[in-house]
Amino acid sequence: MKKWLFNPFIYVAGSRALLIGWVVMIVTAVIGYYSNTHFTSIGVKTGIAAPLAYCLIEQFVAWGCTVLLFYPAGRIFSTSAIRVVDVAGTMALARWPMIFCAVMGFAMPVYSPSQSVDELIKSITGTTIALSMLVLVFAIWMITLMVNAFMLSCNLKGSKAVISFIVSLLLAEILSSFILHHIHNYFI
Amino acid sequence: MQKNLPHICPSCSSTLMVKSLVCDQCETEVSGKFGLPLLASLTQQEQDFIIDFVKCSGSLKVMAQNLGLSYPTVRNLLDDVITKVTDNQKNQAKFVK
Repeated sequence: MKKWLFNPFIYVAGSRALLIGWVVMIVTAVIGYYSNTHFTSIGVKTGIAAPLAYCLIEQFVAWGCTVLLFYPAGRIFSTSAIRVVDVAGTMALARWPMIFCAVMGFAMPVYSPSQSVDELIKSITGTTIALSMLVLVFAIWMITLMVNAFMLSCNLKGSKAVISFIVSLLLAEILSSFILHHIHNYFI
Repeated sequence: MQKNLPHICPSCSSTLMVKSLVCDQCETEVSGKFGLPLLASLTQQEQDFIIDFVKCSGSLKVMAQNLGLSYPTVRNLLDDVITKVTDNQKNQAKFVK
């Protein structure tokens, strides 16, 4: 059970994981559209309305940036013959805890540009803070899955794996935030 | 009970050698100093993995299906065995020298 929760890639990887991951990402995007929840590579934002097309693009940009950074890192640091489909598949499947974050977005307050800072602060209740903590737990779960996905698909262990993972993840987050910022400006 | 062939000295952790071999039929004994085959220095699990690999004609995809594991998991296991065999080969070469 523990392996299925934190390292399902021992059993599922490659094109099968990619297909499951894509389905999960589309479902997350649709739920996120209705709950006003948005995603970057590892970040979650709630309470901002956006078109469905943006929500769908957002998922694929968030996932694509991780693949774009983790695959070259694997090629550089691993001595194994790694496959891009394994990195892409495991990274897509690793995003599945985001479904829960999208669902939790329904309980979060919706912000509008006309809202003042006071109104914004007033809308933050105890429930909002508790749910934010829960979102953080799911984000940590996703990062744990991403670590295991990276280590397994690229056959990396020890400090080499940890350092290359942290650097790639930070770069992926910066890249996805940058791209999504520009796409957001185009849509809204 | 299946006995595992020991290949590491329990006292100093060096590689063990074969000192004598005996014929089970006529009890002829051959004495000397023989090195263990390379594969004998692997664990039973690793030896089973190699046998499975050969039985699957070297196809990692087929092996992954048979074992119920993903392709990269099986590839990583194979890479670990390759690393171990390479290290053992180097150690044996050092010992012969």
